[in-house]
Amino acid sequence: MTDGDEQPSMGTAVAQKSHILSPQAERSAHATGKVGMILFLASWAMMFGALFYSYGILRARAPMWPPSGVPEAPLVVPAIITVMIIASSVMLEQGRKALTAGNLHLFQRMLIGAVVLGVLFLTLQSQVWMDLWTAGLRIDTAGRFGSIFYFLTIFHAIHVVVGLCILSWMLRTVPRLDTPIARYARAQYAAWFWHFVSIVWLIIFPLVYVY
Amino acid sequence: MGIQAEYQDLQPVHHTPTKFFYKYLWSTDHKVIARQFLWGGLIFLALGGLQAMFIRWQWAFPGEPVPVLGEIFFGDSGGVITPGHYTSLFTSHGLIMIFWAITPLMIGAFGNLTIPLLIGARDMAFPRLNAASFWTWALSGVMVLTSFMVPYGTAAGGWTTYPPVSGNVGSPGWGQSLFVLALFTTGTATIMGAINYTTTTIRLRAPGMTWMRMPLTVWGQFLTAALNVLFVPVLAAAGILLLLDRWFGTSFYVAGALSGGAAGDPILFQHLFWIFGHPEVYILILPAWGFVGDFVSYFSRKPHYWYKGSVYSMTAVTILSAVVYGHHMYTTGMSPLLGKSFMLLTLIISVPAELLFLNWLHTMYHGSMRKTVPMLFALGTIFVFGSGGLTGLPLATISTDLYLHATMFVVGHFHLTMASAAFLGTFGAIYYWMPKLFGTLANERLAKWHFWFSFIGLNGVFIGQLISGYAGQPRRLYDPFQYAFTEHLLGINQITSYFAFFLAFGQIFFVINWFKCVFGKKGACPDNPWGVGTLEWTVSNPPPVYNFAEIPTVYRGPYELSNPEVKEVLGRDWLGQAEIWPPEPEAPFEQSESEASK
Amino acid sequence: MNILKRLKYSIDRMIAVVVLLGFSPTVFAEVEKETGYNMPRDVSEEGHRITWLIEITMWFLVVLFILMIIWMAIAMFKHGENHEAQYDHGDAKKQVAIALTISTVIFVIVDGNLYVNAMIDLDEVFWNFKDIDCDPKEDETCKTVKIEINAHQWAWDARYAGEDKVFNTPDDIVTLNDLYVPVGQPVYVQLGSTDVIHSFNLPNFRVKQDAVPGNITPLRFQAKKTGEFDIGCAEHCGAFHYKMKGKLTVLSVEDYKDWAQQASRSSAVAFNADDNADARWGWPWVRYSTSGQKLESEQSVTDADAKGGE
Repeated sequence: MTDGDEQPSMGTAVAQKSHILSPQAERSAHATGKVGMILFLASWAMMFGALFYSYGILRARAPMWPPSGVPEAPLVVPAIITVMIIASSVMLEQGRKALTAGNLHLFQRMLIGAVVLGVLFLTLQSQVWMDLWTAGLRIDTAGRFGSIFYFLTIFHAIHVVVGLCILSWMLRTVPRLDTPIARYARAQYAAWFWHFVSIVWLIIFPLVYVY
Repeated sequence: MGIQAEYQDLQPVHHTPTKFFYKYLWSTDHKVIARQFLWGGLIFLALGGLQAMFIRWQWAFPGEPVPVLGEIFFGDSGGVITPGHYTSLFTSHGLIMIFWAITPLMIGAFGNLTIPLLIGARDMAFPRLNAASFWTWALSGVMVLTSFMVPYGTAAGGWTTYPPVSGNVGSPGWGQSLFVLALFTTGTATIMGAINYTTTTIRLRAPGMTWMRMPLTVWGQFLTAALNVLFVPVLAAAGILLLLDRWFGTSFYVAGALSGGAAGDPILFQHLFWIFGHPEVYILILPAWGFVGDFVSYFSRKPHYWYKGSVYSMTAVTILSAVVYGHHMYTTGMSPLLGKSFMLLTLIISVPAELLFLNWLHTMYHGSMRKTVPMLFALGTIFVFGSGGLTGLPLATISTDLYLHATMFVVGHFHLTMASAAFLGTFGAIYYWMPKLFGTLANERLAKWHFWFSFIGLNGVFIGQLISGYAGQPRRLYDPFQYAFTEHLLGINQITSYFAFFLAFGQIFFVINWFKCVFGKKGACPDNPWGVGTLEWTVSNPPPVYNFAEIPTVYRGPYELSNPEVKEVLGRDWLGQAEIWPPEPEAPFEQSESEASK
Repeated sequence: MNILKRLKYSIDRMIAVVVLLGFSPTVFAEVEKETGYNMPRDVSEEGHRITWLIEITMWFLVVLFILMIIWMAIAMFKHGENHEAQYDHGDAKKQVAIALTISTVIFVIVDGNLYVNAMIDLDEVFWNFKDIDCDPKEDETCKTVKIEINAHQWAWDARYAGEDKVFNTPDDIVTLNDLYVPVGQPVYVQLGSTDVIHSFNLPNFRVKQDAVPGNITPLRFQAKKTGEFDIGCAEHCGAFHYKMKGKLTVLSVEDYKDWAQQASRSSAVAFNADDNADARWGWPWVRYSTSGQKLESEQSVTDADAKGGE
């Protein structure tokens, strides 16, 4: 019976944490990372899906919608921030293309643009909340409508904040990574998260504001 | 050598840790994490079991003080279980058993242990995430235990946590909120693990290990992990909305003070909960189905009958599990069309389950059955899942469910299919993979005593519950004998309780065996004690940290048993998955033992 | 309110209580106990459908289970260690066809029987409220007894429309844990709740239905025999869920008429307009469309409506 702690008798080096991978191995590791990231986003999508489902059920089983007495949700500002978040995703993609082409400078510029648009999104979203709050739509007194409206939009906004942190982190660390694949991979994971957040907004906007 | 170098890159061999901290506490080795989950799960299984014994005491001897333990746990009422205690007991029993016992045991421990070893990988795809998942789960365990110590006690709204009973008015205080937070935390741990298990299965299979050559154990773990990834977030959503109602006065589920005609809807919670809850029960059984599928083949010395059919059945059940959840809600006043759709789908989901059963039965028929410990547990699992599963049919049907809903018949049904089958399946797995876990085989005699006490006990308790439920006894009653139609059921309840105490007593055989295996002197353990061809038995017991010195190449499925050609040439009735066959013509009988058993 | 008025109200209330007691011959009688392990005695018109379906299904299940045990026993004892295992992967076309056929046959017989019968039973009786949803005010031949039940921790309030056949009026009969229905006439119950989810359970009629706050849920049954029967709560609703027992008394048609008339008149007399709004918890009777959906116009039942009424 072999001792469980014995090292293999192969000539290869024992790996350390900063183990340098061959390009082929790197690509393979990246593929694994992508699978993990997709599953992670699938999980998150189901979470938001459950919230959309809740919206549907609350609305379908309500006597009327919007309920009487609640201030109407605005349309203009939310439409503007919708455009903003789409633009931020577009800029992010441009940035990634630049990164792949090796143009770090353009990558950084595009990324900053995306972050700025994200911050503007949050600012205007907060303005919408404050307006509605003063108009009387409160989270604890407007029944199910207030509850689901605020929660959906606040929960999404939290993800925007997290997304902005990730983008900033990406801005700082990607240029310092050793290999093109490593840079590409990290940028891809971060970008996927940001696009996910945008897509969720594209569902919230028509569902809650328009319809 | 080129491909091995690539594996060395991708699945590097880490330093074997020597310090206690890195060896036993913060380890990224999936086998260590498996043992951590095993310890944790067993401790909570004991706690959940103790709670069940208290419930059974109350039903057998209503209002009488619990002997010995009563003073410790119910001291404030002189050892008597009060209605308030009772509601917390059945609530926390259910939650603990599901999330802190079965999940860490079947999925945390055995997902971790089996997946890399059976697919020929060195570790999980994300080892650090793996370690984090254990400690997150452990944190959730601490939160659960804390919830017992707060004023007003722990959660008391049933494991199903329906509002408004689980809201602020029905359950004041911190207990319910803490438990929901604990659920959140364990859910996070589960998702972390599930992402790992699915990614590992997709990406790290050894060359030649195609999907259709994986042992059913891995299929069970993979499908469970896929369900966990998708449906635990729905529970998280349900829980968040409940906490918002409790803490911030929102109106998702309950009416606020000035709701203005658009109050919350308690049924929303039920939808969200059961969208998670129904897949959850399949999450809790798929690993056991995997174990049974494998053990039945190995110990009948016969290939698994129509393996692909079993894979398809398990996959079909997985997919269908998402669309049957409404059968928990037939009496809520749902739209008839919706209810009938759920009924149809629920009845349909019985077909793949039937097929799976037939495959198991066909596998053992005309086999050469060895009644080893794992085989006994597999047979036991088939027995309880058979009876339990069949009783699901009148529950799936709306009109019969109108009578049976919320009776002990339901409780008997799910305790047979979920608790007993998972229990027997898990212990079968523990005994089977004991060499991989602790480098030794478990004591066979103790294990068989454990089996018989458990099997008889489980069947006695839950068939007793089927009987009393059929007679109309409702569930979750502190004193079930208040009604004219239940007064006479005290007798059957007492008998059932005696079976429960019998079951509890029988666990002592496992406890002794466990401590012997973990801490005792390790007897000599052959590399391949069960004589099967899966990859984990090609390495030592216990395996080295890196599992495989060389990543194997797989040529066939795991069920090459009793092949007459193999018997003739090699003199044994099994062929390894990575074994070269036919053996190289140069030196057919001069191969050393170790090479032939690769 | 001056002392004379107060005295009058008290005397009226006492009269009402005495009258109710007098015409409730069974108020102190006990519900007959069950014995054995069969389902409780079935005193309903349509419960036999459920009883039959459960019983025949249980027979099917027992047969299947025994077959499985026999199969396993043969494998365990005749095909044990000394038997030579067959090297058979079981994936030949014929074998697959047999396995699929066996599953399908079992499915069609057992599941099919359940499905078809359930669909019929639901459409004809248990989820069919259209047939009994007549309005006694408009239709003289309407025999349906309509009851509104407010479940709360931990008792059942029941409300009858009374002689004026409108709910939430002074002559409503309001009882606590005490239901009266006539034999042989359909009873149509609507359930509500003001606190947590409860479930109105009539084991002797084979039916139950949840009472959900903010919702109104329907239930129907019809008694075939007179007597007293248990009403139970079948949804965990707090620490004293186990004590939420009520009594259903089935009277002969004549006795019921007498009771209803007397009770309604006593209630009208005892009615106090200054009573707490909680006392008028009734709601406008909810009508259902043919597809089983609640009709739009009467969906707005909330705490406010349930508490206040008009």
